[in-house]
Amino acid sequence: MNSLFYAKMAVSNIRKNKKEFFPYIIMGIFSVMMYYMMVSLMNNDGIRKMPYSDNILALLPIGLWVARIFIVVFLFYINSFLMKQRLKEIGLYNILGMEKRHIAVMMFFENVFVFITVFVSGMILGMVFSKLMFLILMKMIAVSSVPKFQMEMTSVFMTGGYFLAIYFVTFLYNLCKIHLSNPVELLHGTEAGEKEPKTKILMTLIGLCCIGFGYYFALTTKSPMAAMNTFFIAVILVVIGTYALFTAGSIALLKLMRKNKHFYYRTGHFFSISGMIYRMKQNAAGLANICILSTMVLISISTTVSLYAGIQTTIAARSPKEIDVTANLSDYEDTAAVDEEIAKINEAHQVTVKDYTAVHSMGMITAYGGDGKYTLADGKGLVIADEKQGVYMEVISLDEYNTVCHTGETLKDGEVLLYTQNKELKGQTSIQMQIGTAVNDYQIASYLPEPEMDFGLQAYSGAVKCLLVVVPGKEDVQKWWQQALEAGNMQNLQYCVQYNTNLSKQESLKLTEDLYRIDIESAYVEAENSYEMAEQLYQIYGGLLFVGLFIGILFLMATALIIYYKQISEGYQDKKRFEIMQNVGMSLTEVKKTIRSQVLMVFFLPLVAAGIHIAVSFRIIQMMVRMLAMGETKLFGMCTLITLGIFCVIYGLVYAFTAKSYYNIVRVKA
Amino acid sequence: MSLLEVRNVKKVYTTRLGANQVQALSNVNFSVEDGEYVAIMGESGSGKTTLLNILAALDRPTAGEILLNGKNTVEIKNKELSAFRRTNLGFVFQDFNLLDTFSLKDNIFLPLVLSGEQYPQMMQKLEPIAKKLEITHLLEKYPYEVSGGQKQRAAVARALITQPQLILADEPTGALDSRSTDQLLDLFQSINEDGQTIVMVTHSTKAASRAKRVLFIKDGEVFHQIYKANMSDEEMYAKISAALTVLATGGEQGE
Repeated sequence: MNSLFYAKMAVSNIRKNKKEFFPYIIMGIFSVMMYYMMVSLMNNDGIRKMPYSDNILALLPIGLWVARIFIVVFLFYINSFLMKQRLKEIGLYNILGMEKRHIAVMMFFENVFVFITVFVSGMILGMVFSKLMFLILMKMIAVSSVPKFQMEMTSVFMTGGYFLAIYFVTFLYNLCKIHLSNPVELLHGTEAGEKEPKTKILMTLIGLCCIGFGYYFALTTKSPMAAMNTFFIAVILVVIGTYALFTAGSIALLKLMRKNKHFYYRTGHFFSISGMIYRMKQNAAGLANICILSTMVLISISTTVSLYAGIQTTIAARSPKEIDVTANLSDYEDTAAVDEEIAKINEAHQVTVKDYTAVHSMGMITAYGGDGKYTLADGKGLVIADEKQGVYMEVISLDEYNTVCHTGETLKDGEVLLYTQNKELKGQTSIQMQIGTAVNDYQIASYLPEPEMDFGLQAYSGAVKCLLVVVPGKEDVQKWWQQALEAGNMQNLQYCVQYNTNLSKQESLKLTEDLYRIDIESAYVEAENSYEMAEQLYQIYGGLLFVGLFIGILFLMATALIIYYKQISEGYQDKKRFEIMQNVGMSLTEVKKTIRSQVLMVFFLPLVAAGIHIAVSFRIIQMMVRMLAMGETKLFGMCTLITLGIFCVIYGLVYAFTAKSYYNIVRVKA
Repeated sequence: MSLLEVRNVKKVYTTRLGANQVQALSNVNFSVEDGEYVAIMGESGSGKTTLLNILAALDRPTAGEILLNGKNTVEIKNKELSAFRRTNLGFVFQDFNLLDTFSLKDNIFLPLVLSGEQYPQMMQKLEPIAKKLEITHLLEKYPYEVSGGQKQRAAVARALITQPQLILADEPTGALDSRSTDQLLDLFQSINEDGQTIVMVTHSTKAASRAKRVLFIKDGEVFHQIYKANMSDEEMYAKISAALTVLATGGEQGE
């Protein structure tokens, strides 16, 4: 009979406190659903058997781990809010004669009911939606033959075990909390008097400096190579700066505003400034956390979205034609042998070759010394000492250039054609190329427009500056190559054959396999297929996008809920305040306005700060993205804006809901 | 014409489902002249808090009218109500109702800020009042840093700063020790002598004995009233005590 009584009490407690329990339960259900879906994807046999599934199978566990940490932190956090709200109620039970062990039994039942509700509903939703999730993932990674979707008990047990552990630990935590408190304290729980926070000038200045330097680094980095180094420093500086400015800077700014009497004593400003000073004291660290986390989530989502959206461009740039055979020759004369092998294999596969191009080129990393003078980096490898000076140079002969680009350029001996985006060279009439001890001087005949074929320049353009040099004949190429060898630089002469075929995807992949097996003693041959490349890119970027979105949604949901709870608990604390203001003559319209501006600030301050961080980091991140893929600035910008937009809309909805609940709490009912 | 006229005010509370009706005020009639100092007394549940809430325009009567300077406050629209209360009425509460997030000065300025006044004018109004209430040196302090008596004086300053027609005080001495109570009552008397009309609801015979007139409320009606006229505080005290005894023991004639 006794336990029935406690069970009944637990149910009525949950029902009475539904304003607090409801979001906690919703968050739980949502977490269970998301977690189950992720686990069921990982346990899916079909995915494991897919071709190239290594990529996606490596990404999913990372996503799962992040989700695990997120879920446990957020559920714990929300639980502590819930407990804070309920301390008074529990204190009352204590005073009315319930012992702490009775309360423990009651809370045990509460926890059991919450867990059952959360787990059952979460699993049902998870099972319903996991098939959808599975299909979305398959669509994202563009699999040609979708494997069968199946349910597995292992996933159910994994999810159940994980959440059982979380709820058990929260239960223990709550017990400790109650055990350590005394009833009178519990009864007064949330009403400790608050002192005005102090102004911390030094911390504000440190914060300003950190943000300033961080932004400066992000905005002035010249090249992607440098970006890799400075980005990390900039991130750390901005993180420190954000914490310092949210905690100290905000209060300093608000107090400064308060000092300006004419500004401060206005209806709108008066209440929000004084309220915010206290609000920031309690919430600054939390808001800074939210700001930094949302910045990271937004950046990772927009980056993965833009990588994903840029897949087609990347493929077009990396392998413009279906088949791409690259041979690293150690002698110009091996060309014939390579051609012969390719022709033999093509014949064996009954290939009709289309759009055939074949180009010899030599690519090298050089150092630019100004005045059109280039030096081949020394033979110890391709380390670029100073990235400002590093230039990737691609050398090809005139007749091959004319053939592949369908042009009719002419050159005299000792002249070159150049194509470059390197502004420093503009206006030069001659260039000099120093290889080892040999010095080659050329007159610049003219600058070329962007060539039809990119000669592999694009692949480097993200990282270093590039220069295409068209020399009069293949003798010049050979000469440079010889000089490089003599200088001890193992420079390869590349022979690149590209063509399209009439084959189906399957046949094309088989052909590529055979081409890859070409074995010539003096040449190392590689073959790439655009189909294969597309599949791999879709796997990697699609998988990244999927995991990014998954975590992003989880995060968004959790942040919004946390702010909701914070506001609601503050609403109860502020109830008296608003009552007084209404007694003194504040109208309900003004109450509404004050609440709206207060809640608005708490909600959107972190988001606005995140927006600024993202805007500043845009350039440096884009630089780094370009090293991975041919992301266009416009595309990346669009993706960032859309992501931010969606974030704002969902945030806005929760904001409206929160402001309404808050208003209902503080309104004096006449 | 009187400053405040309360005519046939009736207030009936209905429980949420409309099953039970509770009559808090059955028929209240009285008037307050300009410059008067009136205390309203009655036992718990006699309806005095309801009456004060209705006078304060925080609550609306079920029937009857309240005229302040000839204007019926019952007919004021909800939208204009807050502004009306801000400019015409000053409030002093038992638990001070000061905001912890504001300094005393800002607490006093609250109604002025709501009315959209400029800072220099606000300062001009504050100076004489702060001086009279002897809180000038406390203005920058926060409510949690000062004593109860000082808090209540700040609350009185907040009520006075709008130069209201009427000050409504709800158990103003309820949370004060005897010394602070005396100081506050002296203060009320002094501002009343300056011409300020005061209506005070109180349990305390001592507080009521300082008023010029005491109204007794019982079962939602004005049951009795005593004018102080030329009586001393002590004589008034004795008279009120006697009236309260009658009220508590033999006043059942209405039933």
